[in-house]
Formats: sequence, structure tokens, C-alpha cells
Amino acid sequence: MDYDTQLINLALDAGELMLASGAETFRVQDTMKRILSVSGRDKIEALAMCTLLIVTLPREEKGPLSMARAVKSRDVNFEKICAVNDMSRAFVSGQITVEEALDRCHAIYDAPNFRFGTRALAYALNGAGFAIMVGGGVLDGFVSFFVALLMGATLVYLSDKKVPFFFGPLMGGLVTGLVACGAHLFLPGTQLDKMIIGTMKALLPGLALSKAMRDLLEGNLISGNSKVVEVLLNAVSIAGGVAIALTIFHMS
Amino acid sequence: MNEQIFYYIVHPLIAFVACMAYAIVCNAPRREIPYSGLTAFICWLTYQLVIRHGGTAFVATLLATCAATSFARILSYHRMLPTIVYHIPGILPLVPGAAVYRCITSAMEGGALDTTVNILTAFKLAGAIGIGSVIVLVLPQKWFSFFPRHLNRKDA
Repeated sequence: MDYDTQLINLALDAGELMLASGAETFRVQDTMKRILSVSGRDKIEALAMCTLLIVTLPREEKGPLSMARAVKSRDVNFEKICAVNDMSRAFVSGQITVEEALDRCHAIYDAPNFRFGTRALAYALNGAGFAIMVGGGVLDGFVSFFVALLMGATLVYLSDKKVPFFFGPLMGGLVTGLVACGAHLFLPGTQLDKMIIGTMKALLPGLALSKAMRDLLEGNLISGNSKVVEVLLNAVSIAGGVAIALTIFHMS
Repeated sequence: MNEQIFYYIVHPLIAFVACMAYAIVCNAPRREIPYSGLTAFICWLTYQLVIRHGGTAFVATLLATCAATSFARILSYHRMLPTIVYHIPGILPLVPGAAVYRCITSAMEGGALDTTVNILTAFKLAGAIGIGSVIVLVLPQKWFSFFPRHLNRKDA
């Protein structure tokens, strides 16, 4: 591969990693533009839309070079965003070559996540804390710990499988509702609403919401609009899962 | 007095722990996890201060988001990492979970008016988070650059 092709591949790899890890549209475009600017040409273009990346490198001698890439997976992974950020900074300042940068992209792609148990326990701690913060007692926090543990285990298990993106929140909401209702049946001293609200907070799309607002107000209308739809879909699937569980509980 | 200690110290401390846990869920770099919790601490402290002094939920959410986002930007300059790492766990306590839950229950009971009111409340609070973040995120970087850069990281 010649240098220009390598450069454009590096920009796309970096952009794909960032977009799939949940970075803002603005940051993805900025990183890709910085990487392309190493070529020293004018009128480079880097666009990121919700699931699509387009980069263009105008070359007067051989004709322009342009590539697009679809980004299917979506996840939240701050460590990958930080690693790509460091990589692009090192590349733009000339500390590493294109080949080294591409190798680092592949290494970041396979970087390990936290272990299954750690992530499920983190969900559990989160649920317990928020159940107390929204007004529950110590008992609510204690029960929410186990509700959120099961919810987190479901979510982490589903995130490794190839399921549609609304299915994880739906099942998360369903498990939350069912386990909380079951616990309420055996321990009538608990407050059902506090347990469900506390556990549900980690599920609600706060990240996607703030990104959507930012994209809209910065003028990235296409990604902003599609993210608003994503937020609504996610919220509705969580609500649907909880509603199914509550309906079953009220019928019995 | 006891109540003040509970709302101004114990509650933010719970937020600190809970949002550190959320940072683990988001797979934040290990060394940044306590800083994410600190952002949430400041966020929830601001929220409680405003709401215990007669502010509405909308104003409290807006001001708490502004405080958390400002702190996230200061940290992001200091630690040389993207703002999102501190911002997202920081605003998590403000996400309108209670409003969404009330939407579900009122929709199940079949009250169209109650459902509409609750949906609008959820949108109002979500809008406060969005507006508060964007207002602070578009301010010039110079205003947030007063802590020196942390240059001991391996490849900074």
C-alpha cells in the first residue's frame, strides 16, 4: 500500500474505533481530520454520521482518494476512546509512523474489557447506591444490589451476543421488573418504585441523550436526529420491559 | 442538622461510589475511575444544595449539570483525556429515572392526562441535562485550563 492509502486506512480505523466506542461525532471528525492533515494537503474532508464514516484526500497528481466505512457495532468503552486519542496525538506529532499507528489500532481493537463478574458487580453497586439516593431505605438498597446484579449479568451476557440494539435494554427492564416484584412479594417492607428507579438509572440512555443534544446544537443534524430516535427507542424498550413485568405482577 | 449531614455529605458520597461503579461499566481507564466519581460527587452536591434551598427540579438539574460539566472539562485538561470520560458518569445521578417510572405506571393505569404530564416532565429534565452540558461544552477551553497538565502519563 502506498502512503496515502495507509493514511486514509488509519483515519478510518481510528474513526471506526471511536464511533463504535461511543465517542461524540465532533471528536470523531476532529481526530480523522488531524490524522489526514499529516499529508499536508488542503481541502481534506472527514465526515462521521451515525453509522457511516467518509474520508476524502484530494490528490492533484493521481486523482482524489475517498473511502467510506459502515460502523455496525455500538458500545460504550472509554478506554478505547482514550487509547485512540493518545495514538492520534502521537502520530500527528510525529512520534510514531503510519505502520506503527496501524498496529496500535489493531491492538486497541482487541483490548480486553473488565471481566464479566466485575462488570455485573459494578451494575449491582450502582443500583444499590441509586436506590438509596432516590429516597429508599437501607433495606431497599440491599435488595436493589441483587436486583441490579441480575440485571447487569443479563446485560453483559447479551452485549457479547449479536442481538438487535434495543433487545438488551428490553431484557434489562424485564429482569429488573420481575426480580424487583418478586423481592417485593417476599419482603413487603421494601418500596417497589425506589428499587426499580434505582436499578433502571444505569440502563437509561444518558450518554446517548447528551451526545444527541450536543450534535443537534452543533449543527450535525443527521447524527443528532438519528441519536434522538435511538434514545427514544431505548427508553421505550426499557419502559416496555418494566411494564410487562409490572403487568404480570399486578395480575397475579 | 442531622438531615443536612445526610443530604450534603452522605448522599454525595453514595453518588461517588455508585458512579465509580458506572465508570467500570463504561470500561473507563482504571486510573480515571475515582475522578469520574468525584465529578458525580460535585454534581449531586450542587443538586442537593439547590433543591434544599427552594429551587425547582429543572433549575437544580440545569445547575448541577453545569457544575459537573465544568469540573469534567477542568479534569479533562489536567489529565489530558477526552471530557466524555468524566462527564458521562458525572451526570448519571440526574438522569430522570423517577419520571420515566411514573410514565410507565400512569400509562398502565390508563390515565392519558397523567401519562402526558409525566412524559413532558421526563423530557423537561432530559432537556435540562442536554442544555446544561452544551452551554458549558461550547465555552472556550482557556477558561478551564487553570490546573497544570499532568505530564507523567506514559505516552503523553
